[in-house]
Amino acid sequence: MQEWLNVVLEWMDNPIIQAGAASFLAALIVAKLLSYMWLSGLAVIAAFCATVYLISDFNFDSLTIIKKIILAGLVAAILAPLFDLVSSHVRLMRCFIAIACASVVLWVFWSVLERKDWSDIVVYGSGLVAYIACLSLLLDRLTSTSVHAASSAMGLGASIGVSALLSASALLGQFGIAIAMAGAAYLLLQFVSNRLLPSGRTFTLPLSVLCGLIAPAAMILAKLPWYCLPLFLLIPLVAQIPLPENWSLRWQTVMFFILTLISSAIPVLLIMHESGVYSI
Amino acid sequence: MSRFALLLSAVFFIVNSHQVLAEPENYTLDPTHTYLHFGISHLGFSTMYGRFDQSSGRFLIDSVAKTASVKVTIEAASINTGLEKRDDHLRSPDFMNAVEFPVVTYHSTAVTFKGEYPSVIEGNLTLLGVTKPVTLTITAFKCGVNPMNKRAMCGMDAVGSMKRSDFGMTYALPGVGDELKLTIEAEGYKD
Repeated sequence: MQEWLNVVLEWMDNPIIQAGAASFLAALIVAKLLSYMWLSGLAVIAAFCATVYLISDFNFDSLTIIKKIILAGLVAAILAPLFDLVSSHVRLMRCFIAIACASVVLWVFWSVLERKDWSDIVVYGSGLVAYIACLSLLLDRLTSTSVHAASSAMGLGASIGVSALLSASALLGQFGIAIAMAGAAYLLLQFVSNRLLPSGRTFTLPLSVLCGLIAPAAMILAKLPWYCLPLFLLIPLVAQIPLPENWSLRWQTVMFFILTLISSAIPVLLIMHESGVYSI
Repeated sequence: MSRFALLLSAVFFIVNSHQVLAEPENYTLDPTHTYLHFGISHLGFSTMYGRFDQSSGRFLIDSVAKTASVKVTIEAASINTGLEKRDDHLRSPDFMNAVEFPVVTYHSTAVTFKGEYPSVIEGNLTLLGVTKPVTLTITAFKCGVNPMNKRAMCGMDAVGSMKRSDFGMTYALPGVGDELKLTIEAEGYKD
């Protein structure tokens, strides 16, 4: 029994288990179990929390940028089902979400921004606000199309995660991979069951907040090049491509899996090219 | 006469050398001879060593009253293990989080003397915004005149240890060790 426990504990220290298998499993279980309550979108936050639990903690005594990101993700997941209830005034709601996300990004990074010159504050601040606002607007358009939303989550998570890893932060990299695993679990369930899962803002809002904060954190706190941020926006943009309506759900899943994976590789390849790891 | 002159110069030397530590004296750390070195277990196989290249600070010492204090500021981004990619990772939020917390500070709270020289420094270390007590044991201490530039100075070696998890630096535990062995080399010139 003790030996078995030791093996499990050893597994839990493995980064692949922490960010990959554990988050995938958590997302799969939550997406399946809560699908009957229209809350399967909580798979994103479940995957993220599983990874946070294994590599960090939920102690918010010292509110660092990383802790603020975790807190913002949790709050977004709590508020998202309420936002789902507002079905009318879609555009107004989208604007509200974009403004809220912009406020959150400034709150999270203000401790670092305030030490910069005013010109840098304006450049960095407006860049971060533009990035998270665009991301939230693009993802909010996918609330009713869960294959598109799930493939965006997988592509964004993978791209941000691998880019963060290459930019010297394994922690942020693992956060990104956890989100990719949530997207992958969501896609897999839809592919296997050949049935759409409900996603809604329960899925897209935590996704917007987390991807909208993890990537800037990798840029400001680690060495992610700034041009990766607009390139990450290509992923939810590609996921908006309308596919022929007569295509089966499985075909759509495969197609979006491929499309978002290709677009997610662009920033990664550019970082690898710049760092000399890979020559284009 | 020559014996008298010799005696006078000997008395002058003794009085002068005693004066070096006779009153509270302020010293400014020499950044080119002040480094915090650390050692940490790498996956339990070996101990990896590194140091912080940039620091500044001051210390005050009164060997008659047997009191002393020290304040040191270390630039977190100056961490150096001899491998740029690893140093980038150590500067990231996984470990030092050098952008958000650019400095590490150590302020003494009490200094114990053994004879006329300090032997143990108790103080507070602030790392990643968390302040915890860290005790340093002085293994060597010397004050005198630098033979090269003729300036009064003091120097010391000290050792200590700390747990990084106490400061919220929990990434890669337990693979990358929790306990850091600290070794300090410091020199300061009298103001």
